[in-house]
Amino acid sequence: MGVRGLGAEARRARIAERVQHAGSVFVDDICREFGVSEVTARTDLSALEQEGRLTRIRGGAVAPPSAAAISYPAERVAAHLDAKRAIGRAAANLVHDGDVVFLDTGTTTLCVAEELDDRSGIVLVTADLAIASYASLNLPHARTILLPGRLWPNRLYLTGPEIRERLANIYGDIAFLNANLVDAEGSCWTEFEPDARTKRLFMDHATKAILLADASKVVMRPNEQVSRMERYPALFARLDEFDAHICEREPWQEARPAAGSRRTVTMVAPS
Amino acid sequence: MPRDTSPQERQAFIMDWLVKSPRVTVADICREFGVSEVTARHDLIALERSGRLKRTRGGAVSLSRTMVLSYPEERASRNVAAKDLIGRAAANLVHEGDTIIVDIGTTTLEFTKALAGKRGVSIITADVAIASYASFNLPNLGVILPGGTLRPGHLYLAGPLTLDGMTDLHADAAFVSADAYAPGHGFTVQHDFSASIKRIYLRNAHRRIMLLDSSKVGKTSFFRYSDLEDFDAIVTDADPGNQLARAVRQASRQPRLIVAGDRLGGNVETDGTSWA
Repeated sequence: MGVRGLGAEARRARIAERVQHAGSVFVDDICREFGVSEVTARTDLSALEQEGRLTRIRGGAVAPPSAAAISYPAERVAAHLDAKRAIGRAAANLVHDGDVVFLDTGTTTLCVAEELDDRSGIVLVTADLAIASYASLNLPHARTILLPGRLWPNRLYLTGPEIRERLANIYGDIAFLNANLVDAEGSCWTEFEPDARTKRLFMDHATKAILLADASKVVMRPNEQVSRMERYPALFARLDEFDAHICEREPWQEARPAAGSRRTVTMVAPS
Repeated sequence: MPRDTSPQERQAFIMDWLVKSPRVTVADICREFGVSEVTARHDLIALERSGRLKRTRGGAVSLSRTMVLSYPEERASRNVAAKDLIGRAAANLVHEGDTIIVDIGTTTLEFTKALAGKRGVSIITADVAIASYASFNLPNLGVILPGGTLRPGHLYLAGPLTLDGMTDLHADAAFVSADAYAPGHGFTVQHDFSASIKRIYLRNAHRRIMLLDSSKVGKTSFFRYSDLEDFDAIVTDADPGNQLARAVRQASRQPRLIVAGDRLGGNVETDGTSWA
């Protein structure tokens, strides 16, 4: 975020951006990263609050409240949106009336939910508040179950040991999972260990498990792999544990990973 | 009027424009800032690259998908001042380190907002809107949900799975709501599932506090789930005609009545009652 010697306007613009992306900013961080005094940092926050770009809290600031909207930040939703929509449509085609559907947390699985409005009698099980809220308000023929647990700051999904207990008695017909990263060996990675545990539980309790990962999540070259793996250190599955992987185009330009070659069908979603 | 504007300034303006209207044109940008078409297009290209809009012929459209879910808007905006007063007064009853149950509703949402700055507090709630608000705006607050079925068309959990989920969740204090209160009829709600979960809240909490705005007093809904005796405190914004005060005096076990609008600036002075 920080650069020393910036004028007030540019500094405030960066602070506002940080609040938008990270959800919060603290006075200490501003002082340290921009080399300004606490008074200056607080004045910045005060000015930005006047403009409605953040809300001040003790020690810092958070993104302005939008009590009505339960959604991911616009940038995250927008990234590779066409691909996610195509994947969502293809995934929804695998759902039958009356199915119990497990939906992992993320923007691609939200696209699946958006395509399920004409299915009747389905049960959606999720730990994601954006998906659960969307379904409750937009899918009148579905029953939506939110898993129990703890919600961490700036996250819209629940995690915790209660999920294991709750899922112990639920069987799903089909589970749709997102991956942040699928590497050249076909290992599937995500950001947080608690989330990886939930993904595993979904896979273990559903008859079919489908991986939804657009081509940007699939890594081919080793050097690209290392930097991304630092961001996504939690392993949750191998490609061959899935019944299918839906992608918007054929992701494996050269050899398919050995882990994926036998069982997993790669479905290319028609655009 | 032409003046020197930075790309950031123009881009912030463009994003604001797209909040209010579905599309912005290159012409709009040129007119607003007196810049050339090339410059305006560069602004749009930059925003598209960072995934914030989608360029179209002649301009751009918003990308924010409609996940703006309507929390019943009329309920939210009615009596906000009263609910805010109640929320702030009730927040004074929360101690650092408390785990508290926060019931569904718009008054309890205002109460949750008033918890900003409290240290070590966790909330247990079935209200998905309150939970997500806290997640993004109150990073110091722990947030726990009991899980269960979402009531269709609404943003809260209700039903047997939620009751199950609440069974093992205990709290230092429960802050609950009601649809109505009338002397002799107690606190009532519209739905049986509401009554069931609120009874569990009261049973599982050490201290019990009712948050009720004055417009609900003197009314009766369908299902009674509690009365004055069940509470340690009642927090309201006003008590016209002393209806509540009189009912409290006649109760077999008297809760503390806090009328937030009566105090200076909505601050509640302690009366020496111990809140162990």
